[in-house]
Amino acid sequence: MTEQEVTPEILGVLRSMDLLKGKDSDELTEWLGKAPFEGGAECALREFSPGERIIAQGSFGNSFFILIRGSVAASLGPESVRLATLQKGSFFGEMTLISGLPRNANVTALEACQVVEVPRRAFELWMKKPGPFRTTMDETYIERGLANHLRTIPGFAELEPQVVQEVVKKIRLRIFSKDEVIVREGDDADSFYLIRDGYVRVAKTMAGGEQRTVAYLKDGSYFGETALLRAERRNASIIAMGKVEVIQVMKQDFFTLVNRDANFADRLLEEDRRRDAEAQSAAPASPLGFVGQVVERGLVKATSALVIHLNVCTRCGNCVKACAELHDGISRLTRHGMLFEAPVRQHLTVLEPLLVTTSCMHCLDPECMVGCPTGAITRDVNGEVIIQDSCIGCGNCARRCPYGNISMADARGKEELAKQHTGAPIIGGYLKFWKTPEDEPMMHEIETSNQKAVVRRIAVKCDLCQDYNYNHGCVHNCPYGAIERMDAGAYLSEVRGAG
Amino acid sequence: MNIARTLGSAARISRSRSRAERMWQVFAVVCIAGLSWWYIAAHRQPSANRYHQLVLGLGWIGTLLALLAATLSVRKRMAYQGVGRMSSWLSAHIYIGIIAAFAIFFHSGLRLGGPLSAWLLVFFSLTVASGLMGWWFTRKLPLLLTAIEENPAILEDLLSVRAECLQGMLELARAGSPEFRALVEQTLIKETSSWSRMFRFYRRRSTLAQELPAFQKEQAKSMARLKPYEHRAFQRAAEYALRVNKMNAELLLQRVLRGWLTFHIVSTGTMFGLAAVHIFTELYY
Repeated sequence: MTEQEVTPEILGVLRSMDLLKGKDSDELTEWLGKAPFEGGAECALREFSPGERIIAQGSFGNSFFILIRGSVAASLGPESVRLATLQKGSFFGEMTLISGLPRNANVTALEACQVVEVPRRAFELWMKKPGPFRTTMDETYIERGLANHLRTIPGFAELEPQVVQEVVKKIRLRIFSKDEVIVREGDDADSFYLIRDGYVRVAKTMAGGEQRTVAYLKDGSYFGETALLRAERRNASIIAMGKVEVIQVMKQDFFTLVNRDANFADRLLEEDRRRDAEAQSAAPASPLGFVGQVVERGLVKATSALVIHLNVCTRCGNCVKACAELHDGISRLTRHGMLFEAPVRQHLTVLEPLLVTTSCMHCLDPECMVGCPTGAITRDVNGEVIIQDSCIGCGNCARRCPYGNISMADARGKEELAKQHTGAPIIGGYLKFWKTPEDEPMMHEIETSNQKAVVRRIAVKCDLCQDYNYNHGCVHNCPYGAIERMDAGAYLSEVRGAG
Repeated sequence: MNIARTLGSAARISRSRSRAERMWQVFAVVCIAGLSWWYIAAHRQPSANRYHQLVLGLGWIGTLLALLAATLSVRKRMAYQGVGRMSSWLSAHIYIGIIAAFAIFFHSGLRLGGPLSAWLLVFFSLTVASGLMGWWFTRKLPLLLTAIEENPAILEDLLSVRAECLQGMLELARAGSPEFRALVEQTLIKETSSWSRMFRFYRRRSTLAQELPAFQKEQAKSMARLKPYEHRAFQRAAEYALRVNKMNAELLLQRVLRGWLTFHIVSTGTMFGLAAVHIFTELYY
């Protein structure tokens, strides 16, 4: 937004919000103003007419919104079950930016309205600093997130909305890191837990004293209710498999819920019986081991992992060659990576070797997106993680990616070089101005056709062949159909469902 | 890894891929039936002129189909031009090639004729044979490769790891006593390129970890000639030798998977050259 666009009305609304308490006009104008780097994402003033969809449930986004004029409705599902009506001075869309998960509600304009769209970069800028912005965001995240989450869980979905609101005020959001014990076998039961995000494993002590994993639970599952309802001690330990967010409902609040809804306990026990029956009927060649591997090695986050069926792959390397050819000579995949013995679809007792290649998996919760100074790494509405042209080659995303799927390469495309020869500002002017000794690796000299050219380094990763209508070069050019894209979550659900 | 399961899974993958392939198979069978009918009709012709025309027709159909099948090499040079999946092109290449083979064989009547047409028939047969061989290799060898490799490695990795292992073995030999060096040279170096050991990997479908204890036991007799403090080093050298042999086993499979194509391309190119001369001589002389 330019300074002219930041009107007194906008400043008035922003300053009236608890979120931005204490910020003066200059600070706000600067925040809303131009991005600090050329090509970086900027705040924008947007108008919506009545009935127009601002946010679609299930889509991914890179911005949050502040309502300046008019009102909007937040609703859930295709039936548009109204959750809330928001008036000027309200904000929405922050959940996706904090959690990395898809939008969990629709937001539609009720009348002509004006909103400020704040990009991830600007959002993260203030989330880093302690103050009312961060505090309000955290509180809202817990309040809105938990209420919405409870509505999606079987057994809780039938609860009255007022009861849910009451519960939300009392429950706690707790975050556990990898291998942390959430519940210990044999302990007194003092609370009930719902998994909001992540995976846990259920471990029981066997007759010989060894601890064995008997199940894996993912977001949407719950545990601890049996011990509470039957007044027993914990019969299994629950251990976090990675970063796990759980909702903790204390014993007295749990029994308040049980007393408010006569069928609530029955629903939970019914679900518990169903899970037990499922565990009992699991075949000896249950794919539990594979599920464990997938969770432990982080593949579970992948929405679009590139996998090679090794029993079919002839190692011709066409996938890598095609990728390089489509991306200026730099392949975004290598035929190395994580090896799994995975159950074959529809024949789950049969295993096959699968290689998850070193190529962007388009994670559900991409760590690479945190802290990009220009906001160049974003995800589009379909959830694909993409690197835009505004990348300055700082290498932050490459360092953050836990799987090493982002690499740094010379931006030496023909157009790029042509721009350098003509002294276009993107390289010749702008970046040279910012050049510091620390930034040296971002740009260096290369020899091209007997001329020296300054080349910057940029982050490169799989872009799902966006420029080629999503016809993935690697998949498209495999002569034997050995390589495919896989949504690990969907595949795992299939494996678990049939297991 | 349970090989039976692995083989089963691969069969299932190919089964899931094969719906389109089944369509091609039906198409090929129908076309071959049509060509057979054509061939029989030609032979039943009382008129020599008519017979000649019909047989010539088979030749033209075969040539055009062979050219059509050869467009796969053009597709290979187009990473993305919106021209369909390479796997579909490969299926088309295989089945059109098979139909073309029938057309050409019917055209020739499996008679060698003059030296030019004899050579043409030889190279045409080589092209078909190498194609069928490649088809079989690409279906069977990946299964063998995955069964023996612990970690999937690309050719370049295999070469560099093999070089490192050889280097490691030679360094151990250099640091050892003259007896140790001699033993490494006499026994272990030979083992690195032993075909029988390589085939043992293929036959048993075993990995290095499965073969190593037996190999070290085999070397125990030779090791007894060394001083006790050199036993550990010799065992390490033996491990290097077996690893190099296994790398060679993997490399051989990877090279076969690539090498048959060279043979196929060379015979195809020669066949097309001879076919051009054959057509030219038939038309103008």
